[in-house]
Amino acid sequence: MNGDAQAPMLELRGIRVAYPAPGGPRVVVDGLSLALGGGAIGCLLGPSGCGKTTVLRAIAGFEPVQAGSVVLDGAVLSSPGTTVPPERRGIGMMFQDYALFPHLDVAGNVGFGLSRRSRRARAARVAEVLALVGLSDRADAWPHELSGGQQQRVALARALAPSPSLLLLDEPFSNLDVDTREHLAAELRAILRATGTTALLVTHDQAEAFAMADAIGVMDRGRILQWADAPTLYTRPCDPFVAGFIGRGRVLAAAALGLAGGGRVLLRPDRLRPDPAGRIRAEVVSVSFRGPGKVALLRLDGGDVVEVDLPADTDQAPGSTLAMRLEEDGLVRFP
Amino acid sequence: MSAIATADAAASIPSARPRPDGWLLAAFAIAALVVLPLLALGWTAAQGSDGLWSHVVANVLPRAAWNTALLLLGVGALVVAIGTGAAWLVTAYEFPGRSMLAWALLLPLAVPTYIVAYAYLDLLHPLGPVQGALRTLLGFEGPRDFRLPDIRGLAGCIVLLGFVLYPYVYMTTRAMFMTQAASLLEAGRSLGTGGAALFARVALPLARPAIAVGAALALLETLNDIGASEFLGVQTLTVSVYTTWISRSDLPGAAQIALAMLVLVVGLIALERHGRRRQRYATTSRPRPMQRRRLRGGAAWLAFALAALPVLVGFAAPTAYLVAETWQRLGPGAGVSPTLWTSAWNTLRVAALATVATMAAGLVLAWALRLAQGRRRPRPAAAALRLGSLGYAVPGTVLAIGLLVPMGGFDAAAGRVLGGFGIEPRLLLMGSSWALVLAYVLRFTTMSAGGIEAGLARIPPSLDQAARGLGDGPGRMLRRVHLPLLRPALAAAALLVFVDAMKELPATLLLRPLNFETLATWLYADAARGAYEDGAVAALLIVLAGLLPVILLARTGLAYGRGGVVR
Repeated sequence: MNGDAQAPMLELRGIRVAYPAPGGPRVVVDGLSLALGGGAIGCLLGPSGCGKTTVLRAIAGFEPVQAGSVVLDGAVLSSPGTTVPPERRGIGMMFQDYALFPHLDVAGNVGFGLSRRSRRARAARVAEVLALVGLSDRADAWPHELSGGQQQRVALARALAPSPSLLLLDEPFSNLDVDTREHLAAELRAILRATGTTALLVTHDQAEAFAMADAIGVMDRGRILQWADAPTLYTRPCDPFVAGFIGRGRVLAAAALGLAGGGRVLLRPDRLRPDPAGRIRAEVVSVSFRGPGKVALLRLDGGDVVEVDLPADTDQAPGSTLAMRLEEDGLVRFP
Repeated sequence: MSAIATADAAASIPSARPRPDGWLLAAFAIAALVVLPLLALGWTAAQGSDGLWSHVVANVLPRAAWNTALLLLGVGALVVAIGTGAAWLVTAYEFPGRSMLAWALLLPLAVPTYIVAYAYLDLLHPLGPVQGALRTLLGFEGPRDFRLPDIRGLAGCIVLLGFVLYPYVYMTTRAMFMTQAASLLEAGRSLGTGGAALFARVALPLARPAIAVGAALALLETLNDIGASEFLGVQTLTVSVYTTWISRSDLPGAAQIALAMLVLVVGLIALERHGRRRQRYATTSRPRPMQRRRLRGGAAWLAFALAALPVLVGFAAPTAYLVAETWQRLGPGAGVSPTLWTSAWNTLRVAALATVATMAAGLVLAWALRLAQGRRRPRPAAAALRLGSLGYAVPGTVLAIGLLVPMGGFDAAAGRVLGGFGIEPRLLLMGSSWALVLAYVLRFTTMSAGGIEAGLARIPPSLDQAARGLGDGPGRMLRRVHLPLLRPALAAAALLVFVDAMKELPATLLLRPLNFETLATWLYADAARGAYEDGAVAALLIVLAGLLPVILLARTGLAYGRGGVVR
């Protein structure tokens, strides 16, 4: 709106992707739009089968769009009937299984996309990105000799080597164990920041999305329901699905909590507090110890079972009745 | 404002419009080339001058069809019996020599049908070594006092073909026993069934799809055979096609008989498909070798003898004969005719050219499918691959008859073009060995395309996407990623194609230029004249070459199932 600085690097304008299937095409992504500024890290978050990987494939050029367009840095890459082939897009991609070429060593893999440069320029760039990911000493190693975390860093170095204007990451941490995962998420974010790379990742894991991304789009059935930063998604979900998918908590009828006005509310586990004067009565179904506190499953009068955080010193037997007070500030309501 | 800027930027990116996929077009062209002779066959058959069927066909077809039906039935029964029995022996029992016989049972694959017939005609000749030895042993004076029944005739042909073609059934059935049967057979044993009952009630029903697949392949080979039936005097459909064209010059008649053969081919393919479909459903549990039961004493010797018999008849005896004959030719005081070296050179040259071309055609078909799978639009490319792979099912004689008219048309057109340039017209295809190369390509692309497709299936699709994302187009990606990874699959497929092209007889007989001999046709001419001269050397060369793919097969196939033994 006010100059090039604000123009998004990546823009999806109402794209639709369908696969041919017996009995007519199956629409996987339907009218999806998003915009990602230069240097920003975006994330598509959703359950498996929601179409998020298909969006990535459409941006990379492996999937044509039936409607809408994919625009990168002002240039239309995909629109109905027009698909710039993947090799001409200058978009880097990191794959779930890393897709390292088994017949090439680490340097060969990282230099794969640099074949149009001179031998010396290529060697210099390979050394540069290997240093960036901290693998300078493994340039001669073969992919199968590396640990999972090292393979991931080679895949990152290979994708970054041609200096792509956009980097796509498909479930980047799914093949790693939990400890490596958290450590590498911070490292990956630091590398992307340091290189100023615009990136879009896809994951089904909320913790990964929160750790990596500046903006997150929650997807369901081929659409983005909400595109926002992590705190906004948690405190102000715009949709019951987003509310249920992000963080703990349940969406239930407002009347079940004795609220007037109808509609539904999002009840996070910290919104109900034990209070002898409270108006809400609930039967304790079960209580389990969780370190800092306890988590109880309570059955409300209407029959809804909700999860509630309790202080560690509460001692309620299953079957007993508990009086609760509702913290109404910040409560999210849906029509 | 911004919309205009965007449109400009889009225009600046080269070739954003979808280009026609050159690989797919090339795949369609190859598929069309394979289908062409089949269409031409129908057209030729319709050119008969007198009525619907030519006289020749009316006289020849019924008898030839009857002979062929009997031959297929007989060979079918024999290969199923030998192949299944041998597979069961070496997977269910442990006896001395078992592991050696397990791969030796594949050896008859190296012996083409025309060579086994050639060898046995001489071996079992009334004045030959076997009958002579028998007479000496039994104290008879000469052939008038004692002779074995003549192997010439339908029965002899069935036996000889059965003993070289059973490995097709042996391979598929044994693989089935090794990978599928263990847990089910153990269940049968735990329910109190053992020995022969276990075989009849569990193993055999389980193996039925595998048997159908193997038998269909063996019968396609039977239908393709021209040498054995010709030497043994059995007037089959294949022999009739050949004589109708070569001796009587009745091309429409030959095409009509060839069409009748295609009907049989379709039936055999249906049998094979049926078996494969059932096989897919059968793959449920993880492969686990079964526990073999150890045989002792007489039972062990009987098992050894039974499993060794097919190897002896189908490989050891004919090969030993060829070695002995070759020794006589090459020994002191004898010489090999120069024709042998010419035909060996011809064979190598044509087979090498055909291998290169066949590998290229197979690569195009398989690669077009791979690219189409990446786009998730695999159907047209898959159809091209299937059509392009049709050639192996079409008997060589049928393919050759179908090729005569299109190639003649091509030569005539090319001759006119050359004549226009003042170049002396000549037959570009039919007057040269290119006709043979083309026929081999059409017939053997099945093997190259199948082998490459299987190799590609082991390369994860994400490698394609990674290479594309890093700036490689389809061709560059093939060269930099897939070809290096495919090298073993390519080598194996090329070996199979090369050896099969070397041994090919029926199409070669019909399409070779005048005075052009390969090892196979030279051997055929020798045997047809009843002259057993240097043919044995040619036959031995073919068998030795044929051993290479068998060794390859044994090494890959036997990697499975080194199971334990029940004591």
